[in-house]
Amino acid sequence: MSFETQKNEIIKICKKLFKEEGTKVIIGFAQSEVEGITTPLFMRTAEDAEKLKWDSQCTPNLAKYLLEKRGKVGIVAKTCDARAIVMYLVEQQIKRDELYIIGVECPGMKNNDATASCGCEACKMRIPPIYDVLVKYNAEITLPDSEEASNTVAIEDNLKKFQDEMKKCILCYSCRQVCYGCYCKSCFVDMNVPNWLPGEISEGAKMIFHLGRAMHLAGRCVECGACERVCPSGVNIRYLIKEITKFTKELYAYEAGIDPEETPALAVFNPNDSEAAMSGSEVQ
Amino acid sequence: MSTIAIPKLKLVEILDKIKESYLLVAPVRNQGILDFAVVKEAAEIELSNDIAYKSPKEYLFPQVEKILRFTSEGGLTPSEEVPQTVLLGIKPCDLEAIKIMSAVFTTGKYIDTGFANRLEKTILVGLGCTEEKSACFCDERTVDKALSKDCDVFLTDRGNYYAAEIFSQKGQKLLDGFCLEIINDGERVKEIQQGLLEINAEENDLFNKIDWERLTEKCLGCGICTYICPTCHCFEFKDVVEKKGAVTRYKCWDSCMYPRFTLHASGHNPRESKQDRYRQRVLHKYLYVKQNFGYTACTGCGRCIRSCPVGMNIHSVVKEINNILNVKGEN
Ligand code: SF4
Ligand code: SF4
Ligand code: SF4
Ligand code: SF4
Ligand code: SF4
Repeated sequence: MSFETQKNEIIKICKKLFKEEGTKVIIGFAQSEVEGITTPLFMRTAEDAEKLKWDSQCTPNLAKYLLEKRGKVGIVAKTCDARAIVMYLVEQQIKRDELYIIGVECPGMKNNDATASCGCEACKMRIPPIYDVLVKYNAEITLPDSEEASNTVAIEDNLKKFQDEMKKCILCYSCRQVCYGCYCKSCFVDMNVPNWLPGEISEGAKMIFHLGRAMHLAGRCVECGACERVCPSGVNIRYLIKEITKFTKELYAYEAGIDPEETPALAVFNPNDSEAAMSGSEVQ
Repeated sequence: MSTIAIPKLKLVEILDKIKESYLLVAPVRNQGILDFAVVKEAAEIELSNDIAYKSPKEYLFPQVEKILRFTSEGGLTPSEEVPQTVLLGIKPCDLEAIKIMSAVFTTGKYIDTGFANRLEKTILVGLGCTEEKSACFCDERTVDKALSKDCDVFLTDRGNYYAAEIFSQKGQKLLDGFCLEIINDGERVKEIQQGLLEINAEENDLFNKIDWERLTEKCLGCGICTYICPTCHCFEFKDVVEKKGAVTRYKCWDSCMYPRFTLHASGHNPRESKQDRYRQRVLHKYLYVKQNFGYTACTGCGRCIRSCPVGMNIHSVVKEINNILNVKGEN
């Protein structure tokens, strides 16, 4: 019900943007030709807006398209998309005044079997952290009750867990490609001078890639879950990144994609940081 | 050749026996995902209507293959021996793909000895589908989901037994010695639907009259469509220098969806943007392989559609291309 009212409101806003603001492109969601698969929609006219879809299957990430320069664009943003927008703003990849953000209060996305979509299972932030207009859900949203299960694996077993996950990885790099945080023009694993990876798809190569990627996402992951959704082999790799996210929160009181005015944790030196934050010793 | 009946109750026993002399690769479900794997116990094999998430191509065309090693002293070691393999449970679309890949790698001027060697040592056992899965469109791509003869043995589920049609000496040899009953399963012919999805247009028109930018603006370049595609076969070489003046040369999968695809040493890339690369993917499948080998290199398996994180759909893209070119043609 409430999805439906939200959808109608978004369509109204889009039409208004085309008519009154002269917006050229608005990025939203549409039903693809195949049932159960949602696809991004690039609206250019008021008629296109009629194709908009908004329901519990709108998992694709939209904010990454903002990195391709298009001039002024509108975007339908659920919380994780909006968090990515904040990340891109603080990392100075996009300009706020070239964006019109239709923030959508998100009740959580679902897989086709009605379980919570990867990323949504633990998401407690349903109102986007940034928007020009907010489209409320207008019904109660049940948040996941328990604290997110932290990595309860004992340190000694950590290596084994990692190795078990790595056995499944085929090093296709799709997780990197869909990730909001991975937008380097040339990724360290693609370089041949120097060559960071061995030739074979060995455990070592996977370790260099995944640990390297996880470190590059310190204080930058916006918890959208896209990396795990795309993985062809069902690798659970977000647990590593979640740990790093937890560290950044505890050490620097910083969470990615929340405050567009705040400098990213690892981009600033703050003499008031704790001893642990400076020396990198174990979190107390 | 002949058709024999393999009772389902005896299947595991037979496969375990086969496993003693061959490397057995078949669909196995792991944490919910069905995929081809080297079988440890025949009981773990899943022969069902479901299709493996990734195609079995890596068993003929490995993701990374050590092709040779050379040293400053002039020594040169070629790649390793390939085991006798049984690749079991291949759907008709994937058998079609193996046929296409074999044309690319083992016919014409250039023969890929690694591929040819593996193919030679592999016994292909097909398995019919009973129903199409969401996004499958094999019926529009010359594939009969219930039957394929491009294999050594083809299995059809007949309730409490599999009808195994034998198409080659290799297949005959595999099942010899199991004392299985020869049956008459009726004369079966491959049924091909009309209305094939193809592209019959000039390359120039395809380059110039199609707005590839619009068609591909959603693509994130993740490459997963090419990794799981049964007919994608691009590769690159990678030389890894070891310490003592020795170099190992690897042949690794490449993907036209990656920005480094066809990047020249000069820094120039003839396929610079994602629309250039996606155009390559569609035209390679629907035009270039057809020009060079006579087949459209898309089997309609639907894997790329099911796995694309943003719902790109090659079936609709090809239809749209045809629409655009036909409309333009009539004007
Ligand atoms: S690491 Fe995964 S969850 Fe985090 S931003 Fe990247 S794709 Fe999203
Ligand atoms: S998407 Fe999955 S298989 Fe591919 S590199 Fe990432 S973790 Fe590995
Ligand atoms: S292009 Fe897609 S549908 Fe065609 S063979 Fe490859 S994965 Fe299957
Ligand atoms: S060019 Fe692209 S579509 Fe063609 S085989 Fe290579 S990776 Fe696949
Ligand atoms: S799977 Fe989809 S997003 Fe990824 S490269 Fe292929 S078409 Fe693009």
